[in-house]
Amino acid sequence: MPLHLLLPIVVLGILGVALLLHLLGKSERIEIVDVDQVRDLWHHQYPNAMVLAVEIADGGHQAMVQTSDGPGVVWAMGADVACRLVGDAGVSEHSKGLKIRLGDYSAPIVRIKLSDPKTRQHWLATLTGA
Amino acid sequence: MIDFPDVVQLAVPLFVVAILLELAWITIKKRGGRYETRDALTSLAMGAGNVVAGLLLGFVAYGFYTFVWQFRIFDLGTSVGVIFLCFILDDLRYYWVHRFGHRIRWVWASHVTHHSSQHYNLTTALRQTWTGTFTLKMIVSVPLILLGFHPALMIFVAGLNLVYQFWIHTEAIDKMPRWFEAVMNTPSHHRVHHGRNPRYLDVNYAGVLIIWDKMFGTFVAEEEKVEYGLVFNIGTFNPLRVATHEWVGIFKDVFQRGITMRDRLMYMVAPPGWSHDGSRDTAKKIKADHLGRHPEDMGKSGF
Repeated sequence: MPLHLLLPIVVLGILGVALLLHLLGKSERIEIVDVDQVRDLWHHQYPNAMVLAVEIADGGHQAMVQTSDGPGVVWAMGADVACRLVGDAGVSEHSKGLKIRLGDYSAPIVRIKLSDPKTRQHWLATLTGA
Repeated sequence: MIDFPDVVQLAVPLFVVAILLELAWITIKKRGGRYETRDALTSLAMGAGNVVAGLLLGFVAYGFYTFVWQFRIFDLGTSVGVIFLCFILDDLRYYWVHRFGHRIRWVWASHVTHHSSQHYNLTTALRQTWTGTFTLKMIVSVPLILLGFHPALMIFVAGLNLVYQFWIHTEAIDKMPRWFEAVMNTPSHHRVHHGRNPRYLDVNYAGVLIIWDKMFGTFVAEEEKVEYGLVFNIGTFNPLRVATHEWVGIFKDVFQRGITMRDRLMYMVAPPGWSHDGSRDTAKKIKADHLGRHPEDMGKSGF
């Protein structure tokens, strides 16, 4: 197929599908609602880990998990989630909460929404082991 | 000069229409799969990038094939019978390349892209690698070229194989007729291949004909619900990171301090999940761990 035909089909096709999906409400992120859900999500990724405690961030798109292997985060990846142990990641505050630089090329940054300063400090201390 | 059409490029409009039809089906029937905007957008971007990579790097494989062609034993021509035979043998070639793609980390680094979505719909079919050329998988085609299948024919049938595999990336089709399921790769068989469930790891490598998996002992039928994605799911929709994350992982592992030359080599060629200190899990270990937690699954297909 000539490039002058292929290119518009590809570009318009991608943009059209993306727009349609958005209009159909398919851009909504998964909502993390309770401890059991987080526990299940964590065990899908780390089946051998023992989950000791769970806290859910404002808006329900991120959660902090305390496990037998150390603290971790669960966060919405569209309709699904990703999970990572925090390890020695860099955790810093930003205007709406915390930012975790995981040092993982396949999951570089997680932003956590925490409006309450006290809760933010608690999460920061837990995640950094301070 | 033998000339065959680029069937993948020709099928692009068909891909777009089929995606819209699947989406309409899921929306109207409220079953048969899931779509998510950023996931689908990433998959489509990976597909477009794959075409661009083909345009930029396709000459490497074709140049290699042309070089090998000089040493052919026969010239089988391009009759309909030869095209059919080439298609079947190329499907066998695909089976092995695909199996290597899951069992050798260097090849997995390219193929992981295709498995990196937690969704399974027609856009997932287009989530293709940008780095296939670097795996050197073209070497597996050498026997067929030496046997007398022209490089252009090889590329043509490989394109047909890829186009066939598009429609099987769907949850909208449950099972095909029994005879079809017995011989052909189907949505059901390929859903299993995309599963991250322990029993579904490293099975159903077929392209078009499922008989290869049955012949070589890698076939598992769809029984329990499939969970899609990677054993360790990625946390990014960035196409560049999706395309390169396993390569970066190999680079970090190979060039870490304090390991032997053998360890460095193993980080490239051992199955995904291998580590010098046993701190990571291969598919074999994941299956064994699962059986430790669920001994009732012992002896079942996939274990």
